[in-house]
Amino acid sequence: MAECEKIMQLCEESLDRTLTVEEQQQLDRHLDGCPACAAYLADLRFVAGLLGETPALPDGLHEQIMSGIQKETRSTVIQTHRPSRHMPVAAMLAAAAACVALVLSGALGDLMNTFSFGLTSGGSLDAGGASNVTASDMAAPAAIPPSAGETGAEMPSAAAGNETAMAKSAAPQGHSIEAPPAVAGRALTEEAGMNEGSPRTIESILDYGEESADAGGEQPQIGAFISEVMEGESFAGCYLVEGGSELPEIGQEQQRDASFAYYVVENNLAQLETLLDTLEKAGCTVSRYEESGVLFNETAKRVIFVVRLWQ
Amino acid sequence: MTEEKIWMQRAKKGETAAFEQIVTAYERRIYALALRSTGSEADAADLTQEVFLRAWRSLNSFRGESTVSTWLYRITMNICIDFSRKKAFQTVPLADEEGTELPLPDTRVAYSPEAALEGRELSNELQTALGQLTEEHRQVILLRDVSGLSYQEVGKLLSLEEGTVKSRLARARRKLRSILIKRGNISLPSASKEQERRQENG
Repeated sequence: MAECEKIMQLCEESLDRTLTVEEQQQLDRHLDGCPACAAYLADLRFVAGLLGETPALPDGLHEQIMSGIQKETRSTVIQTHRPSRHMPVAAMLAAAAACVALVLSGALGDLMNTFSFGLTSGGSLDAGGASNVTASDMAAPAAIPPSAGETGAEMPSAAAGNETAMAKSAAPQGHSIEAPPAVAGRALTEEAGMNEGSPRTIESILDYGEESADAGGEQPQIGAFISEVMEGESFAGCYLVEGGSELPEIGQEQQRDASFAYYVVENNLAQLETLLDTLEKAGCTVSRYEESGVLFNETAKRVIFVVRLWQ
Repeated sequence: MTEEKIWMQRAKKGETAAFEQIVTAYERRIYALALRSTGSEADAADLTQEVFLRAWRSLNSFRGESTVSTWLYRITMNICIDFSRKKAFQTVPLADEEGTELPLPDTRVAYSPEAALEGRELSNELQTALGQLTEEHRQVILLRDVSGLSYQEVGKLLSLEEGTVKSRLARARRKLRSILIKRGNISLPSASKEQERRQENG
């Protein structure tokens, strides 16, 4: 039986054509007198033959593959011009800041015609969304109506006393964000005939929860990222970064797909805490991503940060 | 530089016609691997599409250090593993509609050569048997016997030493054969059956 055990190994190797001439001869001699091992080899060949059969490609599959890639190519072109997630939020904040400036200046009467004109004739959707957030219900930015122009008509009544409302609703959030001089905001103030002035600090009361939920369908491909880009390196864990006004420096971007940007950061407690603080101060929600399907090694030297991009 | 790598370089610049050469060269093999991995033609077609889409998206990650085939098979295995994990929540293996476990045919008592199935049914039986292997056994069999990769290539893909690939493959093939014998799908001469019985009884 010991010899049969050795012969079984030779049978397996003969399947992979890795036998030496001597081993092949030894196998042949044994098989002549041992039907059990001969059957074993026959079975191995039978199964390997079945497994090695290459089925015909289903009709139309090649065309479907190429059509998917063509679509991807077209969407990628758009993608490169699409701002990353923090851009529209910054624009929204700038637009909100502009509205604050207008409210404070008391120029509301003259504003509304121009404001409405600006949004309907050329204002970006971002600016329109921001005006709605500012004017109607600051705590519910999701309720953006289809037409930004219609929003303008509601502005006077909604905006009256808005300064107080903003301050009140902003307090529990505790995020302070410097509104950047974004293009949308500038256009809005210029159209409204206002001096642009210096950017104001406003209390951000935007709730990003809805936006995150909308984008929740896509999941980051951590396994693919590790195997394809990081060549199977071991990682201590993965953090998912969502929302935020702008993205602080995380490190060098390693990969980007349609929905996520992938970063690798040193697994150093102090450094990680600083980074998490910075991200949270920028309004990002950072959570440990547990559904990656990847086995992490807590002692590994690096961790992955995945940033969900604005869609 | 190989012809494939030239295609890859051109594809990286956005030339879909060059990428189509890669698709044409590998689609049947990728589909075969996906089919053996999932057991469903429809799922295999979806996964094959997904593989090439992901490959297209990650062309920049291909630095030419590995072969195109290793790179594509790695993507395929990742996608197949993700798929099987998702499926695992929906599938109860070897259970009938009432949820009771189906007994495996006892070939030591009631083996009959007529039970050996042909064609498609045999292929389905093989699929069922593959599904009963552990993930690590199934992977080596798929990569070696379905995709025809060398020990070295399988080792690189699975981050294993060649020796480990070889021994794991041997164990996996024996296990697969054992499952097929139990299910009555491999006809064996009585001596072989006897040996199998002895091995199983320790």
